[in-house]
Amino acid sequence: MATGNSVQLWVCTTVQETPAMGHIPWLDRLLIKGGRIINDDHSFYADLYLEDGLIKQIGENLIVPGGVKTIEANGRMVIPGGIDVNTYLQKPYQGMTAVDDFYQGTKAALAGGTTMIIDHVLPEPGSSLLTSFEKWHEAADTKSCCDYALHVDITSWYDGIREELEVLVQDKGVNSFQVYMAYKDLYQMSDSQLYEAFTFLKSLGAVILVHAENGDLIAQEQKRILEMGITGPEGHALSRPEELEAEAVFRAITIASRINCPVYITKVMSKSAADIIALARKRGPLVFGEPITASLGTDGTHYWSKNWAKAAAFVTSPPLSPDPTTPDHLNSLLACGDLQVTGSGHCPYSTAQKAIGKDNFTMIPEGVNGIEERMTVVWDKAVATGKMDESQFVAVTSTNAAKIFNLYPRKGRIAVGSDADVVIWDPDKVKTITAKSHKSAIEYNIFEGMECHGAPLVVISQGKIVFEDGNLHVNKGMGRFIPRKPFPEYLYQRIKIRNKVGGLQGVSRGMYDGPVYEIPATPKYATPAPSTKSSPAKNQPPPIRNLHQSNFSLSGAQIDDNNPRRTGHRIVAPPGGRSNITSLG
Amino acid sequence: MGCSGISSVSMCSNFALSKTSCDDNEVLCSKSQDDRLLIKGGRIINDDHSFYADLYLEDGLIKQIGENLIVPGGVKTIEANGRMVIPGGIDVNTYLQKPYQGMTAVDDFYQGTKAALAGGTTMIIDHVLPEPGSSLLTSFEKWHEAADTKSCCDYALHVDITSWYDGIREELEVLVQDKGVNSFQVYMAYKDLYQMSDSQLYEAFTFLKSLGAVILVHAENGDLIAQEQKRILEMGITGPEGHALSRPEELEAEAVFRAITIASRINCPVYITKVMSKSAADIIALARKRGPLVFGEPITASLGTDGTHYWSKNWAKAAAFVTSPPLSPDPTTPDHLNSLLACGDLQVTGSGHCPYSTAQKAIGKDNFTMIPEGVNGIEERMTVVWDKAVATGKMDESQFVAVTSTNAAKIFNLYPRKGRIAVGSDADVVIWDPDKVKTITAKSHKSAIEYNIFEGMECHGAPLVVISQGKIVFEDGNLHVNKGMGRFIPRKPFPEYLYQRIKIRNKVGGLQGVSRGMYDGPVYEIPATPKYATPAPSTKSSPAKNQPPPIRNLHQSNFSLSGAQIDDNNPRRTGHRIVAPPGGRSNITSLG
Repeated sequence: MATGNSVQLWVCTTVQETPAMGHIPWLDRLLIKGGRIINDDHSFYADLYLEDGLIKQIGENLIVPGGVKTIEANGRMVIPGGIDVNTYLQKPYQGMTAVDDFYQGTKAALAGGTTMIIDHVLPEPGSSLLTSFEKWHEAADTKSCCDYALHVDITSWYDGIREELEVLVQDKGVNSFQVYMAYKDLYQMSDSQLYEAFTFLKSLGAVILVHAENGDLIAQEQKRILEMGITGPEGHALSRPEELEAEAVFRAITIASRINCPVYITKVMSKSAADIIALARKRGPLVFGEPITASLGTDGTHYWSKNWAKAAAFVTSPPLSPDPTTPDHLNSLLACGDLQVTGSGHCPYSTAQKAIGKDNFTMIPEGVNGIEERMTVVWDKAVATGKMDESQFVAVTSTNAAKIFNLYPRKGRIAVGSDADVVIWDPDKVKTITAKSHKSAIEYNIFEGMECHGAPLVVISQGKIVFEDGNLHVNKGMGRFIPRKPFPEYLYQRIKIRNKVGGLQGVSRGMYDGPVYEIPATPKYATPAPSTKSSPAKNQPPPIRNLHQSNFSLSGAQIDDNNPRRTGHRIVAPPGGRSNITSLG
Repeated sequence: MGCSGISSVSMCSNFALSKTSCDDNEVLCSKSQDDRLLIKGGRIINDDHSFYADLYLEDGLIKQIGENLIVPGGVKTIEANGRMVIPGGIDVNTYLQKPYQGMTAVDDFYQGTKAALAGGTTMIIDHVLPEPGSSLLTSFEKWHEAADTKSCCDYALHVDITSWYDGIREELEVLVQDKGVNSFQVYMAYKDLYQMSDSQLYEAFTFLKSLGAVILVHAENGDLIAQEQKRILEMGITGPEGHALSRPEELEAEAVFRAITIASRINCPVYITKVMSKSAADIIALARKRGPLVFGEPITASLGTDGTHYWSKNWAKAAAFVTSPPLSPDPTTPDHLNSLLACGDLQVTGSGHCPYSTAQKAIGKDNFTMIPEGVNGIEERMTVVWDKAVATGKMDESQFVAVTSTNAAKIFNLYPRKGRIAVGSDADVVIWDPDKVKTITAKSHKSAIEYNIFEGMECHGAPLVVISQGKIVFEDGNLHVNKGMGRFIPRKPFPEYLYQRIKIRNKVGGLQGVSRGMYDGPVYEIPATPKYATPAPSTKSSPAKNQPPPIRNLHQSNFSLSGAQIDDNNPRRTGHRIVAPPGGRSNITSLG
């Protein structure tokens, strides 16, 4: 594949690319000369020496062993490898999986400059999180070509889940869990459950991810729209309008703010949802938002395409907004820091798989591509347009993710001691995205025909060149599982202080010793207690107003008006109590 | 009672009641004379403009407006001397018969409406609060009867939907079509009691819209309140401050946001009762700018005082302020809400009047969740708005009329019978004195409650004369009323003020599908019989049970890992991975 750049990238090596190159020991040493190193805080010109998968030296005139392979960067940008925080490379649906597995998907990731992914473990509701985690772990270990970590999605809040979550956090290196506010009767959790889950996850020091859409309302809208006879992919967008996303984002933040825990919104797809996040951050809550390649690069007008296959290709949840100004807005918020992280939500299903829902949009498997296009789309839409500088580009494609998910500074930074996940980025390269040349196994591309500025020239993962000149040099399973510790400082430092200063205190006041209205001990009719069957707060009486006596307590003339006890309750001026009460001093 | 009061009226220097050509006391006191009133020299204020004119009232109606009116002889005349003549206030939110634990609040329809009239309010809309699961109709009749025999001013009734039961649709239809009820309140709080789920709200809103009703929402997140109450009680906080701590204003704002989201999906108007916090009010203001038809009603308490009192060392005082949503502990709240009223972002004022005696409040002395909820405010409403908004220059007199009377009349379809001084309108008129300074105190208020949450507040602006149904019912601090003189005012559905826009939006906002050719490409075949029988996703609590939710069947996940599969050799499987189906590829990859 022709790179089309005027300044040739010069690799001083005689080694031919062979399938076995990963095993040649001295290939673990690499010198990158004359690059402009970009971190999220500043940039500088320096050479970079990589060895044993780590960055060993940064500076000028480095003393390195002889015979080291050298890359002449010629002033090009050298950036930390991208981190894609949202992939579904093994998402099951109706007994099938999306077409990109960990092998295919991570190859595409590397080709786009992403050297680490965090994939979502999606357990069957009610099944053990631990078992599912092990399943994903094994699949990724044998197939992944880049380093990876795993989020675990909490698809139901069952007995014993607390113990499993503890094991995952303390022994398995998982520090992030996703909860769902959508998918009614499947993954969806009620507000009470969310409150419990958030509280417990906070105590573990985990990152709480939220799929924010109002599932109750979606179910109603789907029903209504199907009844109107709308069955095509446009029904997906119509039944999941962006207000429902914004509403759930608002609610998730409200819950998190009560618990004083950080909350992270996955897949920010609309302007209104993003605005809610931006507004909330100004008020204080620790909330983070992750737009994805699709919402940054395209929009939901395609659901109205006359081509069913094309329209269906865009089906994902929350859906792309039909508002074509959305990508610009989201990129602007990324640039100013109101949104922090970019993912892809990569989970492409083939057209034949999508066609399961050809007569009913609710059956279309959800997921779009974007793992390979993520960094180039952000560059093209945000950096090439002048919204964002290179450092912020590094922040939103890599560093912020590393900080939030406690991978920093091992990942997300070019520094001595950090992992040698490095990308040489060419801002001038112009590439047209097309299914004909992408690395994904999917036969379409939702960004088809999009001309993008900025692309990786060389991608280095674990100190090895894995992508160069359009060619991948990878081995299946070469990616490592990167365990993550709980309580990422970037989130929990503030939380700890807020816990200390934000404690609630009661008022110490004298006992109330005035008269107390006596509630009849035995109601005239036995009435059932208010149902608490579905209440997680069942140990605590809710603020009940017992209405069961309403029929018998009208004001005015009552059958028991002559009962002295009754009049006794209406104490207008109790002895010694009146001044207390009326002065309200 | 009314006759003697009128004949013995004392005259102030600047406010004179004269008997024109009156030669006989008997005549003056006769029924027919009593129904005729001339108000001379007043400045009439409506919500749109003001003008100087005389006003002639007869048979409970405004008969003439203008100068040099020709009126029958012997008519009682009030010299207004340039004072403001405004439409009587409408208090859209009272609970004069709210039951709690077998008791009711201390102000019934008689006591409560007396207080209303003394404050310049000539009509109330009270809430019928049925026991959850019991018939709305039965409860309505109970309230109707109680109010009819006791109310001293005109009234209407909201019906609160405390549960969404089978057969409720029929009852709602009867209430709307035969009973003169056009407004219903739903609850997003009071978990396991009144609270409705989002799905139920969607159903209720949809149905109420079809009836042309006004949908009132008590907006607080009940799930989170229950959790917070539990947590706060466990921390050992049992006093009234726990009420505020467990119901922070975010939970109010959240529910307001959600209510608007639901209403906006259905394209129905929604009305938030009791706007108590800045954040809830801001959500309403923002939403209105986006398009949804949403209305917000702050109450006397949120406009006149704040929630710092929950931290009072005096338990009785702290408990007196307990209402839901609670008053915000942010002391800048009243100012903010008054400003939003002034600029039209909030539209209506109520009182939520439902005071319980201190002894009744003390039921919750060891547990704030047991404190009966409700504050006073029916009498203070208009004077508090005047003092906080008009006397401070936030709001002009016309806007004052709008937020205390006219907007309510428009929203609840009482306009122009109520809420306007115009020929043909009801003769509910108040002569308002902007200069009068009154100190609110339990010692002199008309409510039966022994405290007043506004105790000691010095207010500018008060009614001098209140006329209800063409009769002077309050004058010089004295009430002249008869128990039961108030009438039930039936209200028709589809108030134009709300539904005119809704109708047009219905027309232009219709959803349309894309007409496209049939998809005739390959379709992945889902195995008809799963290897293991798995239960279908539960739809037990789903109102949308006729419609499959967007299910992702995960039950096969164990058996569908990518890569090497046990059935890899099965030709059908590979057949599903069609990369270039015949004739289909160009369609798919070009995505043109």
